[in-house]
Amino acid sequence: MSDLDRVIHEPGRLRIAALLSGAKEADFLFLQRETGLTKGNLSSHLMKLEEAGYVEIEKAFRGKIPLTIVRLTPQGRAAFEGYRKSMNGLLKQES
Amino acid sequence: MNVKELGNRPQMYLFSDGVAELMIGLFMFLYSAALSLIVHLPKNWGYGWGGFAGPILLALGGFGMMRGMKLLRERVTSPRGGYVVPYVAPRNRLVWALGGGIMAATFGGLLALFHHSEAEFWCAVFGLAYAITGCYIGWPICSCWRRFPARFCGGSQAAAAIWLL
Repeated sequence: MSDLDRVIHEPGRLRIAALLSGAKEADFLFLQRETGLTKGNLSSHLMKLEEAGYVEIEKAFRGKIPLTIVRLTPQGRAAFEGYRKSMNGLLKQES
Repeated sequence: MNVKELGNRPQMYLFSDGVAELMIGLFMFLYSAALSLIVHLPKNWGYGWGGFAGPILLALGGFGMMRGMKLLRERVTSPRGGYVVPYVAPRNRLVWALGGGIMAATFGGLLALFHHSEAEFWCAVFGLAYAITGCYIGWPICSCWRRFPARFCGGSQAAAAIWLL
């Protein structure tokens, strides 16, 4: 259990990482809708993931509309896959 | 929390607004319109440059379709539900997007080189033009290769190759 990545293990961040694993990039609104987190909560989790180097956040404009685009970095993708394998291994040991 | 289901949501989101189905329906309509154009061309146009009208119309229609899909999503879907681009593992794109097209292009090219009549030559050339156009249109569709539209595109290309043979 001590080998689990604590950054991804937190439920809110796990949801974000799981969603981003299926996306090349996604915006803040999509992540907010699909995770069910509040704006403040989501921002905080994204900041932690960015500090760990697992996501990159890009502020862009589409015309006059601001857009916050989030992507999983290769390091983030590898960390998520590693977390999944660790959890699967743990659950197999338990059963 | 189902992690696998969460990972599939970006793909599912693209098909939740009906824009992809609408555009694929338009694509099928254009495809059949292009084919019937060939059938209804005057006889002296049948084997000549006029026969390229079908692939050109298809390519332009495909370009318009991609632009239309992008605009509809930007104006209608993204402001309400957000913006997302599904992740496709690099190896998946090539298989379905190019596989059928390469088959059709190979058979068309061989037939064009070793034809026995003028009719056979033009048939092969048009087949080649359709294969190239199909790849151009099929590439973005086949970016979600697990879905029916991608398999339909690859399957129809392969069927065209077998028909040419």
